[in-house]
Amino acid sequence: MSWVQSAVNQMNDEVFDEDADEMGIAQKEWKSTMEKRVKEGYREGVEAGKQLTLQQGFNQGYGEAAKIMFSCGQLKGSLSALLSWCYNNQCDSSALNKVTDLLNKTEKYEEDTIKDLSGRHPQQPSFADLLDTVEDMELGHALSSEEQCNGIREQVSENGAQFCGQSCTNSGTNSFQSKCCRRPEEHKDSERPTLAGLKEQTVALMEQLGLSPSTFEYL
Amino acid sequence: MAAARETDAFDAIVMAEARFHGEGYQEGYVEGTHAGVIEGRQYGIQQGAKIGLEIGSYLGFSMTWLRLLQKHSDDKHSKKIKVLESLIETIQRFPHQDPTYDSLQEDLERMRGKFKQVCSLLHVPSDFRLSREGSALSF
Amino acid sequence: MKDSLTLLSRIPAHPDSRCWFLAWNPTGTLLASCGGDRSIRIWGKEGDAWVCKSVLGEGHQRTIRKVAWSPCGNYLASASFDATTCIWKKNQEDFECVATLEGHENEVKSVAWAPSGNLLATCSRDKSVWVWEVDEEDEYECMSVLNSHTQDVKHVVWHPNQELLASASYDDTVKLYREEEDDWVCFTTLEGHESTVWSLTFDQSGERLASCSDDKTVRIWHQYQPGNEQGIVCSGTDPTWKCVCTLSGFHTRTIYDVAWCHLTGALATACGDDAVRVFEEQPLSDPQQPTFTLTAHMARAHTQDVNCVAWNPKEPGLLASCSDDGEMAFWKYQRPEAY
Repeated sequence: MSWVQSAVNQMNDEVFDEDADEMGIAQKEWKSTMEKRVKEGYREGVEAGKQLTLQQGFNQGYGEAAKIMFSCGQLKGSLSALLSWCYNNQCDSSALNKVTDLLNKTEKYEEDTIKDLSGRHPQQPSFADLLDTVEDMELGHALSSEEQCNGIREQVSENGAQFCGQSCTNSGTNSFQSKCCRRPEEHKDSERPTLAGLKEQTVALMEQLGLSPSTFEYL
Repeated sequence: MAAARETDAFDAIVMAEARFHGEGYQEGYVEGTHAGVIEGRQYGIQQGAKIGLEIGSYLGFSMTWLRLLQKHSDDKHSKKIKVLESLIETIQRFPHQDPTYDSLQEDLERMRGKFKQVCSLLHVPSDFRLSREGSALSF
Repeated sequence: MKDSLTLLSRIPAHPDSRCWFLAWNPTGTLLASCGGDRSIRIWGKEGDAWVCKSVLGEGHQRTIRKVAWSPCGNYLASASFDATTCIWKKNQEDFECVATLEGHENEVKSVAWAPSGNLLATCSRDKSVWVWEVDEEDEYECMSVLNSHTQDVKHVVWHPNQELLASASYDDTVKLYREEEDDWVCFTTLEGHESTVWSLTFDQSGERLASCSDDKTVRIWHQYQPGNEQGIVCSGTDPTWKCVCTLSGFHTRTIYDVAWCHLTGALATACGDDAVRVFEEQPLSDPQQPTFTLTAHMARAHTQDVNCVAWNPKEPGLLASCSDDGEMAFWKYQRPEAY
């Protein structure tokens, strides 16, 4: 806060008209007092500013998180229902294991999503978000190329970015392409499931269990 | 003459203090508004995530069970179906993204109660992989 | 007040344990007791003595807090700290557990049968009240889960002639519920007690409710229907319940139970100061502002906290009580000549 310094100097000149020696001490006292006032004002200002926007921030975060986790919760609820139905109907252990496995994956996704939500700044989308964005665009070919890219990226560490770049050119979605062809360290993100992916696996499982399509068409 | 000058000097000090305080305040205020949004957002995310997850799971659970029971057209499940439909309807009407909704707590308790009833009728323990403890949410 | 309450007999019902509750069957011939020893005992009179006719020991894993007879007298329900409620069917002198109601998250504190016999209510430390429906095949189904209280719910009781349920809680309130389209809703909250409300009892007409509390008072609440003469405001078609009398200064500790005799109108209390007391309404007092007088005070009714008092439904003046000391006592109450 350099303006304080110059302001103090300025004020000194206006108000005090004393001996050079006395002015030295007076100046120090003045500076110290004024710095205190600034700090107090700053603290009060921060409190007041926070008060104003705390609720606003809360509402924003709440709405965002509730919306995202609602979908996640829906999938988890469906899988729990499926699991309890399997228990009640004494399905074989392989079916139970498959459902339990999917449920575990969903719970992991849930934890990761919350971490993402808490960790990131509003302006920075997560990788999972980007894939979701692509899905939302409802571009059929983009979806399939995403799957392709996912599978391919797992091999990126061996084959390098060049390989990835090649298939990505086919996707036709520029922003997606640029994110997709990121540095190899990103490859660990590709192992993270997406909500859509988990939904698909759930639907597939329901089919396997012999449940009619109406059971899961709402998914 | 000297007295008047002292008074002036005193006034000038008081004004200077107020001015410095004010300038500090303004700078703090701007910082505060930014910090407030971020802090508020964190709390909001925690709460919103919990509620969204809970209510969403009730919905998914109910909708799946409803479909599973609707396969059987006999009366055996008509009571269960009725209660499931009622819960689904209540959830779909609930503004889960709005923390300022005035009947939030009341509606939440009603949905929780209905969900417990649903679990009781289906012979499923209500904390079956759906409780907040069970999902190991940690912040 | 001397000799208004005389001891008839004292029995170690649940030795080395607590006796938590007593319930007379509808004909007044049997008394069920339950306790910390996880058993239910059924007592009957043989000559002048009360003898144990059955022991129901295999139903629960933990303390049994309350028992309740169905209106027909053929079933007994038991509420336990093991979070379940058992339904026992009477077959002469034997009882068989025919259903176990699960769903509460923790200790079940109370159970009560509706006068119609088709409904059962339970309440728990999990803050909820559950209403169950019974069908012709003795199948129990959960009809409603009510989360109105904000703390442990201690007691539930049904209205004697209306489909109305009352609950008492650690949150210092009494709540009343009625049925609405196949579901139950809380239509009013009675506030006034300054601490945990432990028990509730309706008078014979159902126009009045008595509640007892950790605040050492008994409160009498009166029902006012819409359009009442006194001009008490009601909300829609729901009645308003107003506190018309508070009995304070009589009890020195928490009052754990209160029972209204449907034959004589006498009100008995079970207190943490080991005493049993009886109150009666002054005959000429204004029903909107009744006065109750203490007509009996048995200071050392038991050697520890008295947990329950129960009037025999057929024999006027016969009162049973039980205590933390594991004992149960039978008393003869006679209204004093001039009071």
